[in-house]
Amino acid sequence: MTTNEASTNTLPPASRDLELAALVASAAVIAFFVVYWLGEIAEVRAMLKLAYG
Amino acid sequence: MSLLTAYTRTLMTVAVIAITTVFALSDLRIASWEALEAVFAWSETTVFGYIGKTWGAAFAIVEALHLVGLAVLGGAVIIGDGRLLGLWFTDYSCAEIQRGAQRGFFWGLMLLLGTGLFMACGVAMKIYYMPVFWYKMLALGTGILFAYCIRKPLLTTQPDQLNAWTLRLTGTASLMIWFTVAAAGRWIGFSG
Repeated sequence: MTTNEASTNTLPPASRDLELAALVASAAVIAFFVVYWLGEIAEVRAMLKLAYG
Repeated sequence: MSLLTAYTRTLMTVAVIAITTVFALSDLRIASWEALEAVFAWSETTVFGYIGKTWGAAFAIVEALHLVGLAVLGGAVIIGDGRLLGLWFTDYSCAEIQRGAQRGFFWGLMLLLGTGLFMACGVAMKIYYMPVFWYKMLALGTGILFAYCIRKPLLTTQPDQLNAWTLRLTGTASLMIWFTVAAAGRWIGFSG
């Protein structure tokens, strides 16, 4: 069986809560780590520029 | 059913994110960091700290086990999250793959935590002053909470009936967290 595209409306309430919590947590994690890694990459680029012009 | 009882886990997730954000942006973070200095100094005086500092071979063996733990955990994460993203093992049910990956994840995590604690005692004051160590701890704490409070309960119910985008986002977030844990660990190693 493969993952289907089932709508969240067909799930029991407990699963809807789990799914919404997963969406909120995942979005927050992705947003934080994208900003963190972009910041780190910018810092390394600035240091390389200082070192090699 | 009231909103509070119907969406308890979602509301708790929002509360944890809000509390973490307030903690990170307030003076409480600095105060906690300063308070932990004594704990780190003490950990260097323990048996683990003494062995880690004076017996290089023991440190190297434990570090090798730490890397084995990372490989086991990393393999479990790549298999489990890759399946959530629909990259591989799509002929098998998502639940079946997650059950197998979960066992590897648990034992990999136990090995990482046990060996990591020993290694940290040996170089406690060095890592205490490294910002990257604290980012690693943040990623590790987030990873454990995410794995056991969000990902596992979500995937133990009916993963094959969940919305595909929820699974993809969950898999992406999990991969980003554990990539950060591994990369930050290597960064600590390179920092001498």
